[in-house]
Amino acid sequence: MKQPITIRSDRDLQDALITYLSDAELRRTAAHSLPLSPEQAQRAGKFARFLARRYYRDRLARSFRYSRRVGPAAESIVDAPEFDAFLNDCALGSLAAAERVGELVVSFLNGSAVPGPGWSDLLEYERAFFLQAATSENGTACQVPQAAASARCRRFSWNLPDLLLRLKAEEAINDDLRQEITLLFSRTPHGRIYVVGVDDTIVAVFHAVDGQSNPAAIAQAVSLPASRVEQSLAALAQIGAVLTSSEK
Amino acid sequence: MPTMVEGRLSVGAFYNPHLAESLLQSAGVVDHLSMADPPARDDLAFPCIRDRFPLLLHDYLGQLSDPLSEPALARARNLQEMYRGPWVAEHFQCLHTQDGGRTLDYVFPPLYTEEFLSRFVANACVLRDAVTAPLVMENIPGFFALDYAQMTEAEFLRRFFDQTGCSLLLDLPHIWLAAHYSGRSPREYLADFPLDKVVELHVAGVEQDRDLEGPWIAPTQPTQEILNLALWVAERAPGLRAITFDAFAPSLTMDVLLRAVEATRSAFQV
Repeated sequence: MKQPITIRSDRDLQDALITYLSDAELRRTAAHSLPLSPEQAQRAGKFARFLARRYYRDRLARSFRYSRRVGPAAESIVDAPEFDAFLNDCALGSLAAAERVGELVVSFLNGSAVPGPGWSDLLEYERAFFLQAATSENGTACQVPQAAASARCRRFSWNLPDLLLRLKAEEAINDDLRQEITLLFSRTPHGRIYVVGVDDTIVAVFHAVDGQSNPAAIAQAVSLPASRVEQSLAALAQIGAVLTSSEK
Repeated sequence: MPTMVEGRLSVGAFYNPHLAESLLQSAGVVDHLSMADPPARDDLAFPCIRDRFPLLLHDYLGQLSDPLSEPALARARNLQEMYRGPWVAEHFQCLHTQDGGRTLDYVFPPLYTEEFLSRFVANACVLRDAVTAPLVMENIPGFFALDYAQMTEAEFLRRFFDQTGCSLLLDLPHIWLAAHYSGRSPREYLADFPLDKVVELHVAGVEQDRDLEGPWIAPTQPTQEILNLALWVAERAPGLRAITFDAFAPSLTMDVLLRAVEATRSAFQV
């Protein structure tokens, strides 16, 4: 996220302004060349905090929409004192900021009595979804496959897709939903979010993508035929979980 | 599919899916609905909504500071084919970087410069041609300013509309805020705006914001001051066809929506 912007045009200047507003550290250190008076810089700082609080309130409300049916509303964390500290140094839309907010909100939601069965899994599901919804940074072009910044593969003890349906229908959550399932969370560069059930092959290939191995090396690492690994990588690239050279 | 009645001012609101059932019962009060999002796949009420109300495309189609991609243009075309509204709306905004890596995720105005004017003119014409419908553009307020602008917002808009033939969707809370933060009255601020290009007005309320330490747009009923401003603009906008209560939020209640629309109808005596 810390790429310096070369200003060659008004459009580049607007990019520098957007970057300034989205990055608290940049504002604090005044490491910019914007034609901004001290008075206007102070106003810009207020606007940046307004934008960030609004952004995370919106993303939390959208991502933690099932837990709120049985527990506290996640987005109320943005009005808590600890969130003010976060606003002082966050980079809006960065993975680091999304992870930090995810940690804050799960800790907050776990602070009260457990509202029902499957609660921990539900929060981990929504946290992984939130990472996709609140991360706008895209990966850079790569010669070998690399995992997208926010993509996450999670194993759950409860059948989350069915559990969500029951919560939506206001039906009871019973032990019949205790069933291990592995879900992959990803987001395409265009912002579409995917949550998909994955098999052991996809899981192995996804975990073997380290940004340094080419498909042949990945195939060797996971002991699978190269053609199958290529297919898996193509499927992962389609949902934005993996960036390949064709995504440049 | 219903259409706006020619020669009659239409007073409407945004389509808030959680209020769909109540909206369907609001016959005679809400004339039209603006669509900020496409209907969700599980929105069972939408087919009835589409049969009942004229719909206005008011989605995020893309920022016109940059060329729209083919998929973005196709999406805009598809949405307009679904809604068949009398016009399509976009905003004078530039909120994400060219590489897409940073976004403010909120309306944010461009720099008012010759370069941005050229960009908006070129890209708006492409969008208008793609949707094969008139394009209206909404004004966006600033909260602070760089010491860089080459023209005022009013000049930027006037020249844009002169060059494109597009029309103006005048958001009055946006005007009120821009005027407030520049230390002028809304009517002074509007002095050089091309009000003859206005086809739609947005009305809503404002509320105090803790971070801004001042007022900002809120999904609340329009104040009497905003409604008075709307009447003042309407007297200078011969092409005005619609007024929309600009509130799109999960927290919005039908009670607030109806009171806002009724207050607007009452102010305009329709």
